[in-house]
Amino acid sequence: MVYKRAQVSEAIIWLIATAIVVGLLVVSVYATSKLADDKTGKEESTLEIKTSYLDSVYFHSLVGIFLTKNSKGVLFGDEISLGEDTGKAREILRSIYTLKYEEEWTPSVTAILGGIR
Amino acid sequence: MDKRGAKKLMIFYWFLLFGIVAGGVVYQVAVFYGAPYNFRKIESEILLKKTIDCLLEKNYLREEVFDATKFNNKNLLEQCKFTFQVEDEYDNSERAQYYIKIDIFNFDPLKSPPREEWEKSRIINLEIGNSNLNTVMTKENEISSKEFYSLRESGESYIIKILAIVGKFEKNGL
Repeated sequence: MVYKRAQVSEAIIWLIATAIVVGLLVVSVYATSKLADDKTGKEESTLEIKTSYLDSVYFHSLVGIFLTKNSKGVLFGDEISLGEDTGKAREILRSIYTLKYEEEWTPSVTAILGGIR
Repeated sequence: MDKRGAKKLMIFYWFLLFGIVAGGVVYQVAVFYGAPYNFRKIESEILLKKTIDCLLEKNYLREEVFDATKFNNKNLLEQCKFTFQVEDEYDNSERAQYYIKIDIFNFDPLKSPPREEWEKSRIINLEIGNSNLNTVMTKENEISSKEFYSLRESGESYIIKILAIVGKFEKNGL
């Protein structure tokens, strides 16, 4: 009777262990399939270039603005490097880009001027 | 006798558990590494960047761009030194897997008109490749579309809108 009870409790331990193993397996299989979905773009997260590679498009615009002359025939680039009012130059950006890019005006201009100097 | 029988059962159980775990690992590896990557967005961004490089020369727009005899839908590939030929592995050679659309708009930098206004003043429209891709693929994560401001050496200013799309459905994950 005592042996039988011991055998039953051992079997229960094994059943619990199996349930845990299967549970962990199910979780990891689910996680893997989620990761695989991400990889194939099913979850709207295809591989993207995380660097500022495409921001070079924005920089092309900035360089264009620097090379544009204002109403007095002075280059915006010269005006900007002298620290004069750049409202007109910013207006050009505003016609093309969203506010997000305008926020990048100061760091971008600083970067370009830093490259020129 | 009972004890020996229980031992046999335990061995069977061990193997069963081992099989479940091993099978699970194999399945996960197969699912993860079997899924194809989607490089379309990256490839279209590179194509877009290369198109911009093709239009510009020393930070100014190339003069040829404004000459329809030198820069048109027929010789855009030649002008930009692009090749739209793809590998034969998926039998895609006959179907164009790329699409580029370039729109150039007149723009007065001293007035800086809003988008609704300058979008009406398109002076150049160039298209090359499989235009069907433009209707099939509309999701933000599948195409690359950018606008930028530039000017000719003579001083005229423009806004250039470029759309680049890469198909290659068989090679990339859907």
